[in-house]
Amino acid sequence: MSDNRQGNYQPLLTTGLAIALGATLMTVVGSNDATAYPSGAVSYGSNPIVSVGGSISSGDIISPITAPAGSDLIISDIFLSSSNYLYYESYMCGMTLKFEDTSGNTLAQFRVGGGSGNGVDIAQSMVSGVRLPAGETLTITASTPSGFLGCHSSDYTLAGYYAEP
Amino acid sequence: MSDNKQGNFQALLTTGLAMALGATLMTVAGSNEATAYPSGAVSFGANPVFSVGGSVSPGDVVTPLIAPTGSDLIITDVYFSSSAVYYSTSWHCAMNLSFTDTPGNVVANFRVSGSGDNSAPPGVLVSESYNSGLRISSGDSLILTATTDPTSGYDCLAGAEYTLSGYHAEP
Repeated sequence: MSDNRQGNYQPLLTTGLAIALGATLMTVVGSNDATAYPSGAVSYGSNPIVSVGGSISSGDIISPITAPAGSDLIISDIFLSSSNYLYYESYMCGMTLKFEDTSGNTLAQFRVGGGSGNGVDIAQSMVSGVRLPAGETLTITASTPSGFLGCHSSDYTLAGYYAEP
Repeated sequence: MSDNKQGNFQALLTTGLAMALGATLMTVAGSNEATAYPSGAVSFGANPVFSVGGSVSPGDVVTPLIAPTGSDLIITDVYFSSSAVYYSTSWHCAMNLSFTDTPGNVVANFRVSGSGDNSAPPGVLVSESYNSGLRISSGDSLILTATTDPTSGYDCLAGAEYTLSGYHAEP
């Protein structure tokens, strides 16, 4: 091959390699798919989204979810239905729902209630969330606050994601 | 190759390399992933998210949070339940909830209300999620003071439950 032809190939090759490098870098470290959780804080090895639901009555103590060892659990969405008193439904009933971790820290506290017309339910989507540390269990305790009649029951849904501790 | 053609190639090569470099720089130093907290402001050495809950009644002064030395607290989510005088009354009550920091700055003010009887207007609760949030400076405490609103004829004897959530951030 003549020096002249070799000189033609070198700039083409260099340009092609530069474009390929740019494209490869763009693909490898380019924008990611949209996620509902802060992916920078998540390294779970599988889809980190979790949710759980159930029903709770005044006097109940339940443990709906446990954060596995090595992963915190961030509860970002909390739904608690309104409730009512069984008999005197023109009166407002109340139920306190206390969220605690195994260590006894109160992570959150809500109140639901209702009567025949004015129910109060909770649909809380948080920017930060409620963090349950790795290895700890969430306990929800339902009780009747002072000054209220006891409610019958409330349905709940908790949603969130596993995150790095 | 003539000097003219070589000049064209050099221009093309320079343009191609510049485009590739630009694309690469755009990708590497471009916008970051969305996070629940501004990751650039967070260097906590552990997951920075926190939350706390409890209940308050008129006359209470509680300290639910303390910002550790070297870390501000940003409260992004505030929940207060509605309240009532008593379950069977139609009397309406209102309770003010004031957030101050240790130096005495008022960080936020809220009001909840309610009655125990459905013949009265429904209660008002607080459910706020902020884009920026409420900042408690490093070393300061958050003080929550509950008082009966001056316009209210009755105390909210049933109190209110609260939940505060946020993250630790660099001062």
